[in-house]
Amino acid sequence: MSPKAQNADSTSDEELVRRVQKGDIGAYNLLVVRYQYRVIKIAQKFVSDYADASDIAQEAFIKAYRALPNFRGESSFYTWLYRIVTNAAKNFLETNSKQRSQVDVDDEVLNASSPEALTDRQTPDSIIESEELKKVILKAVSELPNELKEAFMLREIEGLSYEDISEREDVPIGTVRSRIFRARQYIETKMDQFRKG
Amino acid sequence: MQDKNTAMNDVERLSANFDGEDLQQLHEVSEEDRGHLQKWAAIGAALRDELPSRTDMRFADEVMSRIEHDARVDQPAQDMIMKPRIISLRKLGFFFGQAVAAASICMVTIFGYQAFNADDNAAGNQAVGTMGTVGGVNLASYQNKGGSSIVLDAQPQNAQATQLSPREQRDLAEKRQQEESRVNNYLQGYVLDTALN
Repeated sequence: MSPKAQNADSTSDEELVRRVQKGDIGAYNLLVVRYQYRVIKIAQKFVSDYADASDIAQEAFIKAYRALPNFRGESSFYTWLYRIVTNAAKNFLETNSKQRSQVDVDDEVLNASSPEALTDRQTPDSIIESEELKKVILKAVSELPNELKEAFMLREIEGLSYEDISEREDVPIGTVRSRIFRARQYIETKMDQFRKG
Repeated sequence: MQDKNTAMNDVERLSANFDGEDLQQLHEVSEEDRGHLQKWAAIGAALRDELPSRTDMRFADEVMSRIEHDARVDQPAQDMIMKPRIISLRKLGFFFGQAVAAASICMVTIFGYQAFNADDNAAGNQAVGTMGTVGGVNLASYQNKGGSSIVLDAQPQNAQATQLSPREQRDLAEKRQQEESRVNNYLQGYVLDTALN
């Protein structure tokens, strides 16, 4: 992502953070949606298991929400969140290693082989292998009409604001907004077909 | 048809909000909208190669439902903590009010009594003179042979046993009057003596 793009994102982050601090919980939903995959990916650098990484990321987002009233914006929201995730991951490793040393090996073998233990860790329907999903998304993007694809890529890859895209493409902001939305709609339909199929 | 267009505009606005645009008109997120947000986040992450090994399409929902649950649980707990505080403050106020009223009465009693008994010519900061020996009698050196405690205006111990005749009573009253005038004369002499010195 280009520096200008990061700037546009951090500006909207600031606005969303201000809204959360005023009690708008919906604004925090947008922040979670925006950073969820990056946060899980950071956690996966500490723990290999996806379920553990997901737990760490959840804890980090909840901790961040609780600490947000004290966030003074001295660093960007993402930098601040990054620190919370890494601390949560380190705490998880520390606690887990202590617990592991207390668990009897026989119990561990028994638990692992019990059907309940397996079901807990089984993959729910909402979890998809990312490689397969990525293929579907890239194929759908390649099928987009050029004007939609350009606007969409400038937003998602370059991270440009709608105003910057409208200047670059020489079209009104409303058109940019509409093109990006239509691109999303198309890819979304393809994702739904993949999940149903 | 118009409803469908309105719904479409709402989702388009949600798409703009997702990109950090039009945040002044933050769209209220429904269950269906959350699904859109999750997919759009996955699309962007896939294009930027930010997806972790798996993609959980319900991750943000789970985080938000935990936060909302915590908020619901914390609210009654906070109310429970606040209520006794209010009661105790009321009680404290009541006791404090009582203490202030009692202190005021004490102050009025002490200063009012002193002002009522004060000499008209006496200066406010004049020191009270100690009683000296006048006419060979020192009032401070009264010898009590009858007992350890003195009760003012006490009746004689044998008052009930002794029945005085009217004449004896008159004599006694006369003697008391003489004694009173003697003491008064003594006090007047003392006051004059002090004033002259």
